[in-house]
Order: sequence, then C-alpha cells, then structure tokens
Amino acid sequence: MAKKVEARRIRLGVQVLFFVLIWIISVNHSLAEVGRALPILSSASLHALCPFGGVVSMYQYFTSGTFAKKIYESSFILMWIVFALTVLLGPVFCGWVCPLGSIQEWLGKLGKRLIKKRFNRLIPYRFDRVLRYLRYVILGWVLYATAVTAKLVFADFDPYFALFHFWAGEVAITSLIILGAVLVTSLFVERSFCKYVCPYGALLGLFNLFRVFKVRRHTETCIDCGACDKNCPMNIPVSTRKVVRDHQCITCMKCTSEEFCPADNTVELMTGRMEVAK
Amino acid sequence: MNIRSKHIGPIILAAFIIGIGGTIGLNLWRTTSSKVPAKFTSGEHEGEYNPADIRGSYTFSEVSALFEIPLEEMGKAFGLDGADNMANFQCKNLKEIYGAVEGGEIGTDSVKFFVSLYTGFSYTPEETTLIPAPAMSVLKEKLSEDELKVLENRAVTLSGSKPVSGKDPEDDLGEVDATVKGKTTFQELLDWGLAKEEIEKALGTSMGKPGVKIRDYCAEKEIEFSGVKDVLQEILDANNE
Repeated sequence: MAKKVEARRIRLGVQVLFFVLIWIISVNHSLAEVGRALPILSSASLHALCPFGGVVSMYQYFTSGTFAKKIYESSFILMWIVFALTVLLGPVFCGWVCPLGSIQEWLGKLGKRLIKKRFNRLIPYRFDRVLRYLRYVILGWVLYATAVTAKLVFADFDPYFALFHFWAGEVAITSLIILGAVLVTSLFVERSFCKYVCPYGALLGLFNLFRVFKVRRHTETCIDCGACDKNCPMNIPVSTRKVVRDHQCITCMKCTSEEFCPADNTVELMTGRMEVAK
Repeated sequence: MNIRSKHIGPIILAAFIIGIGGTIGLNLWRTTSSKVPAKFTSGEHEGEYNPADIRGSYTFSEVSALFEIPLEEMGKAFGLDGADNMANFQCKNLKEIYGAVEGGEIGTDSVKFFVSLYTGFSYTPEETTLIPAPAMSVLKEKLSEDELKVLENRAVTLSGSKPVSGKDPEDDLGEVDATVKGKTTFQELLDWGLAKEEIEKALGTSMGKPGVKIRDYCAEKEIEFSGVKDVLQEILDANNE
C-alpha cells in the first residue's frame, strides 16, 4: 500500500514541479515586459516554451528555414525532447508534464467528490467514441492554418496560454472562454480537453501504436476486478486488452499494479512480451 | 523489462535537463528572436532580408539598420519623430499607441509594408493593414503617382481618421482643424506645429508618447486637462495668427 502511495506521489510531484515552473516563468515574463524581471529566472514567453509550437512550425522551418511567429529554437528543442520521451514511454508529457492536463486532473478530484460515480461516465459511449477523434480534426486544421499563415492560429483558442496569461491583455477572449469551459467540464469529465480537443495530445497519442514501453496486462494473474478500467482517466478498457495501444493512453500509471490494480505484477509498463513474475 | 514511476519521474526530468542544458551549452537554445530576418531565397531580391519576417519585437533602430532606412525617416513615417525612445521602440507597440483605427490597424504589418515600399522588396500586406499618413510623404519620392494613389486607401491620419482620397497627404494634414479636444494626441500637436518644449511647458512635465491622447496622459499624471488644453490652444491660436 505504501508503495502505491509513493508511486502516486512521484507523479504528483513531477506535475506540481512543471506547473509551478511554468507559472513562475510566465509571471517573470510579464515582469520582464515592464522591466522588472527577476534576474535568476527565465523570462521566456510561454510560446517559446511550448513544444507544440515546434510541431506547428515544422512545415515553415523545412520550407523556408524560419519559425512561425513567436516560435523560436527552444520550441523545436522541446519538441524533440518530448518526441524522444514519447517514443520510449508514450505520452508522458500529457500525463506527467502538461500543466493544463494537471489542473484538469486536480479539478477532476473535486468533481469526483461532487458527483461521485457519475464522474467521468456522463457522456454516452456512442457520442464519446466519435468525439475522441475530434482532436485529430483540430490537429489537421492547426497544422494547415499555421503552415498557410505562418502565425500561431491556435493561440487565439489556446486555454493553456490563457491559464498562464489570463492577467495579460494579449489573451484572446476566445481562449479565456475555452479555458473556463475546460475547467468547468473537468468537474464532470476527467481531462475533457485532453480527450476531445487537444491537438498536441492527438499527435502524441499516435506514438502509443509503436512506443517502446507499453502498458501490458498479464491475463494469468488478472483477477478481472475492473479496477484498471474504473481508474483510467481516459476511459480505456484496459481489462479487455493484453497490450494497451489505445491512442488516448497518457501513461499516467493508474491502471498498473503500482497504483490501482490490486494484483501484483499484473498490469505493468513493459517492453516486449509479458514476463510472468514467479 | 518493466519500468516504474520511480524511474519515469527521473527519466522525464533528466531528459529536459540534459536536453535544455546541452543545447544551451551548444548555443542552440533561444527563447527570443535572433533579430535577423529570413532572406529571400529566390527572385530578383535573392539574398536580401525579407520584410515579411520582421517581428513585433524588432525595434525601429534594428529595422533601420537591417533594411538601411534612416531612423529619422522611420520615425517620421510612424509619427514617432521627437519621441525620446524612438530607436528602442518595438514595432508591436504601434498597436498600443494608435489603438483601434477605423477599418484596420497600424502595427507590425504596417512596418513590414512600409519597409517593402521603401526598399522595393515584394510584400503583400494583410487586408486590414493601414499606414500612417505621414508615411506617404516619406514614400513620395519612392513611389509613382499611381502607386501613391492606391496607397491612399490604406493611409490614416494620426488621429485615426481616414484622409480624403485624392488629396496630397501633406495637404490633408495641413487642413486639420487645430482645436485641442479630448481625443487630441501629442502627435497631432506636433503636426500642427507645436514644439515639444511648448507642449511640455503647458503640461509642466515631460510629454507622453506621440500617439497618446493628451486627456488620458493628464489623467494618468493627475494634471487638470482643461487648464492644459487652454494653454495649448492659446499657443496654437497665436501660431496661426
């Protein structure tokens, strides 16, 4: 039990670290604009620290050697770091790093207390199944529109930017409205933005098809209790799979024997074939 | 081989620390513009800096140096001549000082457009991009009559109203009724022939940015606007006699 708590705390610690870091840098960036930045800290803009900026700039970079507006080398470097992590471990950026994902998850804990068992089960499967692909449509639009205009078109709709810049005048009203909607819906649906809207999550989700370490379930030791399904924030039916290749997995580890799976060494993040623990 | 949370956490942190630290060490990590625009890769201007890549963070002195346009001409074109911080003025701040302009906006794209017209480099501005009327007098020697006529549709006087089409922009500025009102900007006072020193004497303090409305500036500095207005109007009337 203590080990399960420790595992949860490790991820929470990493989430809090990145959330606070981005928040501090955002504040320092605002201070820098009025000449009052704290010298030790980075005052980089949020766009410069967003790996998705690198993704949307790719077309422009390879065709003209420049980046989309407000995007710099740092976004490109972060993009490659995240890609490397995702090839190895799956979308850990979503489950462990992304501050917007983290705040949705924390609000979800409150929502769980408020609406209990109905939390994260409100949207009928027939709608949910289709809506899960909406984020690929959004990804396609963002990539196309950014390539054509050389501007960060998603910035005007980006709740992540609004979350860390809501005090600045440069945030579009649409971003603020979407942020409000994301925060409210997070009380009813876990990681609503991640599931249905996030274009970066859509891209990283594709890595689940070929990532090195995959979530694997050992059928011989599985007791079919359904704890993995019940605790998956992305509603993936882990108990029906031997290997999770679902495009929505965010490597949060909640389904594993480290966290909610009560059977030891049964659901694990592994390479290759499942080895039975003796 | 399996992996656990106690491994994933350190792997993530190590990836970011090594990745960012390594690229800082290799001088590849940049979170701001290198202030060097992309160059034309083909066509008659191949190898020249492309005005389309001017960023909002570029200062007037940087644009001036990159595209070999005298800083004074840039300042005059955008109504900043006489401003203390003209050299360090960032293109993106044009939007702030001009505020909402009927029919479009004056901002970074206006600078790109102005630079392209001044240098002769090709650039297609956005439909809503406007340029200040004084820019037309700067460009007068660079453009043909027909080009100037087309440009008039995009020109606005510094108070934000459109000039009467078909007139010389300088004439247009000269015809403005020189009456100090609530929405009058410092730039308009300068355009009407007041010296910066005269304005500062009336204010009893330093002048604000040219695009700022005098009433707003007085409110910010807690100066009685009506008193300043009367003094300025007296000087203007005296000059016009």
